[in-house]
Amino acid sequence: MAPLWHESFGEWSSLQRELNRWLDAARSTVDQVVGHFTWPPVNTFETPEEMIVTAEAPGMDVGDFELSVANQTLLIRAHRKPLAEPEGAAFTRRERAAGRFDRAVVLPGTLDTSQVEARYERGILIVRIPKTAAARPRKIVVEEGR
Amino acid sequence: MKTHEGRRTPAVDVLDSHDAWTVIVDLPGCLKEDVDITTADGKLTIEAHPRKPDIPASAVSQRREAAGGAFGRTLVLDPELDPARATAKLDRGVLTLWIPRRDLKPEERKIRID
Repeated sequence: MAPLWHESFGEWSSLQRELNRWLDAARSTVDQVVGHFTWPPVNTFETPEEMIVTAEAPGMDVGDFELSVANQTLLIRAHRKPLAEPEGAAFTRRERAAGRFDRAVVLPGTLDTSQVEARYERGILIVRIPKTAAARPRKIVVEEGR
Repeated sequence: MKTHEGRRTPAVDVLDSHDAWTVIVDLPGCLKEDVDITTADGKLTIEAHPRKPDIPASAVSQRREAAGGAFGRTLVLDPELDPARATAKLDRGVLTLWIPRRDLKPEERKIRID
């Protein structure tokens, strides 16, 4: 069997991993379908101007997300409602994640967290957080000396 | 059988009801023109090439839990299903396929005693 995706990436900081594990454990007792360790999968990117966080969470309504920033951490809460099983029908395969999920992303101190922007398109949540003016690259002009 | 080597395996739900199968596939990043659905030899094959999110070319990737790239999946269909009458829709990165069962003609249901 192929390794689960969360086992394939060694570069997570142990703090993020521990935080996600703790949040998952706390949530799993509510209504999370067994078998999903962490969902949705998160990618992060950095440009000279901003940090971009993407989460692949297809089939959601924007109201199913709750985003917050506190203590240099972006918390993405998602509630993916499980599909109902109509009378006389049965799921013969059920792999898609459903339930309540929390993902935490520790942010570097160079970001201006008062300016967070979030969009949801084609099933992907995209969060953009600009860097503070001090952390953005500035060109320094060298003046001609005498 | 078609292999999907190097492709991501999308998560799938299959709902089996008396008149049809409903196949629900997570294809984040895809619009309908990015998805190819074919049926042959009693198998359903889904191939999808998601669009990249709008990330500047200068961006440096840091955490990477979603691998990116194409999706591929093949499912063996119940022989009672009639893929010729299947319908599909794609909404917010979720593909929903409805594949009805074949209409059994009355004479096919009859049990004759010779």
